[in-house]
Amino acid sequence: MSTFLSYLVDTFIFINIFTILALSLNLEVGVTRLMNFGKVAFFAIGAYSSALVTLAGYPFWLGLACGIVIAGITGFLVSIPALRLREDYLAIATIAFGEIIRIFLLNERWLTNGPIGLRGIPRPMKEVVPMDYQTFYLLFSFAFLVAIYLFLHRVTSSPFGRVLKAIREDELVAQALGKNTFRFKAQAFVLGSSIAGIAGSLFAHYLTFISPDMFMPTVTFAVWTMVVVGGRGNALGIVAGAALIQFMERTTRIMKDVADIGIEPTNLRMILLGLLLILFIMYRPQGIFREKKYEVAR
Amino acid sequence: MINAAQLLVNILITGSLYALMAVGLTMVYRILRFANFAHAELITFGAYVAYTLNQLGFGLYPSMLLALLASGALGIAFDSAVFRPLRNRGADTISLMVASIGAGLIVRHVLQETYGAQILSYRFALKSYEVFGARISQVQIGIILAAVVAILVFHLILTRTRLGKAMRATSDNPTLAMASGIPVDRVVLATWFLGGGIAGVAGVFRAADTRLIPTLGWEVLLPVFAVVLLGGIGSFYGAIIAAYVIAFAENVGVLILASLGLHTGYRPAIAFFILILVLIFRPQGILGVRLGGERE
Repeated sequence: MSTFLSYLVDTFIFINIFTILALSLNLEVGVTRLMNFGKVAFFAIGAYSSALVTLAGYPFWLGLACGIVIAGITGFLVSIPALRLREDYLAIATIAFGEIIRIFLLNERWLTNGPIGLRGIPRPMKEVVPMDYQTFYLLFSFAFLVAIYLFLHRVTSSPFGRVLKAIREDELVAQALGKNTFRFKAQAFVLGSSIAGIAGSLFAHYLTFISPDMFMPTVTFAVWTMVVVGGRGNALGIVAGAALIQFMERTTRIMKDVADIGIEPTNLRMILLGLLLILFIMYRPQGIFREKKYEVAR
Repeated sequence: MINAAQLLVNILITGSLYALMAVGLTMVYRILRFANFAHAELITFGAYVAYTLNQLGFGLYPSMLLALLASGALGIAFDSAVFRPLRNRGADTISLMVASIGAGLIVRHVLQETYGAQILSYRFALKSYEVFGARISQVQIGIILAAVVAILVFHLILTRTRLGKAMRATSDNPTLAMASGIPVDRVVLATWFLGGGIAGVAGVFRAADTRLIPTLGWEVLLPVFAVVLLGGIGSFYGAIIAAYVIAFAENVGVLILASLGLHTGYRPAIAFFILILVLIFRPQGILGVRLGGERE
């Protein structure tokens, strides 16, 4: 495969994985208004759980399932105290939680191999795939993305999803209507965490190598940028936002090999992320795509 | 094994640094009502400004004074370029926080592009002393003295000057302050300048005491948030007490971790745990008050 085509396929695999992650954040932030700034923790938990299970010789599907379950349980445990906090406190607490997870991964060498990370993570169905593996993984991750997109579409347009949106608009009103809002918020948080676990698993098995420094808070900030740019609450917007940010990320990475751009790619990427965050918050807080809201006839 | 005198010295050093870093963060959080994540870069910016001045042959203290002015100016620039326009558009607390993350990323990576990601160090001649069996360097004595001076100066500003009175009034109730004819805009700028400036000085001290990297401020930001929240948002005196409490917890906590056979790499997690516990069990902090009108 030509280098260019390989770059494109690689980029789209990352777009698929990060769109899943951004959709999970959108369920929390965009649909329910839960200001989770610890997204990277659940991504990391999914990646490490799945990697460890498969490295121990079990099949990919079991690894994936463990990633989903462990990320979900962690999300549940975090949600009990965290969801009672007011917005800005929840944001700070979840950033701190993400850092605690990263420090755990750095220090529990017996389990995670510490800063060196895990190598040789097996690729799912490597032996049985009759085509180029990268192309297969593109389709494989895309299938996950489509399934999750459709699933989340169903969830958000169901009665359950409408309660989440009611909580976003005014939690007191939702409570007054007899909804146990804490329970709904916790369910959204657990669901969001599990989906982040799927993204983490796909990430680990694609790269075949993970280490704690891949799970810095900047990952959360990048995913937040996807949601802010795409448009909070609009799933199609999230796909566009994630594609844009990942395209930017991958392109700045390889640009160094093609031409001298006179700036370190990481710096360029982070400066662009920062600018996008500020400009969108300032000039287009609803994102590229505004969420379609139900209009009530008056 | 570490002796008691050294432990005390270490607590004083960490606590003094945290106190210097927390002042600006807690005031901005209180007056403008958002968690300013770009505060990390006010710390880092000062440290790099001092590095350039040091390269040009300036001594530690002149460099520090100019770093104070530079970080103070950056604080004002943040407000004029990002936060004031957002306030005027009625942005909510999370939008302001997200924008501050963006502003911080920009400054951090502009610094990284300019100076490189590698570890830098100052070329100041630094003596070390031994007091009661504890080693303490000139910079570390400077840190403790600077915290004492900053605390005194801030105390005098808050209690004895019109500006201080206006700051307290604005932090208690901005709308009422404005209605009473207090120039709130000027108070906000003064807060950014003073808080940013002191953060810049703290950055120089930390870089001189450890090393200079682009994540210098980011590394300590969450512990400083722990200080701010434990002290109670907007509480200057609370922040000072909390700074030494967190410093105590970190320094003693490491010893406890080691004696339990746990990895001392968990040191940074100590402040994060305190941060989360405070948010859950005492979000108003040790000296903070729950205000009736505030959203909890």
